[in-house]
Amino acid sequence: MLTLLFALSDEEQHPKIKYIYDSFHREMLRFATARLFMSGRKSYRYDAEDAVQNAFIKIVHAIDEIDVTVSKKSLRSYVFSILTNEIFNILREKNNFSEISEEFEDENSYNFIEELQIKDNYDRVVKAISRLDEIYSVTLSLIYVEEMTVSEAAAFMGVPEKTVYTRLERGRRRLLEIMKEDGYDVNTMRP
Amino acid sequence: MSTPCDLELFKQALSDGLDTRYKIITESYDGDVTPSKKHEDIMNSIMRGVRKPIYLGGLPLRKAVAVALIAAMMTFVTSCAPIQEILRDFVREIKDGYVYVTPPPNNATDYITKVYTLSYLPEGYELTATQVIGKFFVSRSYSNADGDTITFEQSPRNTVVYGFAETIDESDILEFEDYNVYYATNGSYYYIWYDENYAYRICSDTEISLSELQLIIDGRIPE
Repeated sequence: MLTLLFALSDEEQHPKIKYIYDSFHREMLRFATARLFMSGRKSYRYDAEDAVQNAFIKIVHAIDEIDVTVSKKSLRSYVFSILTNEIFNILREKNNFSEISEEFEDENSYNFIEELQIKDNYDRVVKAISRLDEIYSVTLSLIYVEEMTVSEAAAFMGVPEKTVYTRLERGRRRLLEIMKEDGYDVNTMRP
Repeated sequence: MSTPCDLELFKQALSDGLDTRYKIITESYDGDVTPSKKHEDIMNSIMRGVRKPIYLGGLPLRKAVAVALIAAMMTFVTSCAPIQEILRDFVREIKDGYVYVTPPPNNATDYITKVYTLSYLPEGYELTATQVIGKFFVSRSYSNADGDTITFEQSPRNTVVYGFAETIDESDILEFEDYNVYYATNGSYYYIWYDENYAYRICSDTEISLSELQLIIDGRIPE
């Protein structure tokens, strides 16, 4: 068996990829294994390794752009966004991912963040995000945290731009729905 | 009305919320996550730190004996002088037990958009395994009843290809007609070539005659 490996675009970047590997590889493998196990995949362990390898291929390709001097938490968030996307790709290829159709939906004009009244509801928002399907939370993270354009996020995830718009809108809507389910009144902005 | 402060808080909430979710999912699984040997090999190679995308040959590592035939599509090479010149410009490097082959860069896409397969194989060989890594790599292994394996790989054109070559040195590089041939003697053979869009490699743990190799290469067809 032969395997494709992508090494570094520049040898001086090697410490960066090593740092990411040392910091997150084991954790990435455990998360991927757990996530794919949840999906019911019989080959979840092998698929998890594939996801981690593919994630590192992406990381190596983007290593010039990755700043490892940011906080470890920020770096972890970015790395796990890549990994989560690779897990989606595996589930989608294997037909284990039941994403609803993603017809284009216009970006909603309402001010989503204003509606959250996050200053008063920070913990609730965090809890709701933790319950949000990763396909939506990762998309939100790429746009808001990583400050990618829709075009950049689309390229990152390997999907059309309209899919990014759809995931963004559904993510926002679903986040509010979860908060409502938790007893948060989206009309009064109060629990 | 939301404020920049609200946006910063939302970013923080996204980060915290995702962290929490990752933690919940990770902790929900208490099974074994010991990586396989294959995974460790792949990850170790990723850490190797070569300059460009590379292939790793995983054929039997027995004292690496590698034969790499550097060629463009044979049919082109004999008839197309510019390609012959390009072939001669290939950068070859032998370092740390590997032979590295680097083609002059061109504008080919970084992804595989057309997958190739082999329509001709030596008698008795059948497809036994396929491996796909994203849009970057496709590998098909063909084996016969004796367990001999031929593997055909495809990757984007601007890729550095390498093969194990612990015992090889420059003096082992042979010229065969228009092709550069790398070889050693203990039984693993690497044939590497490029066209305008992709890099290819055929690896075999048994020797393939050059006439048969040409049939294999000429029999490369879109899937």
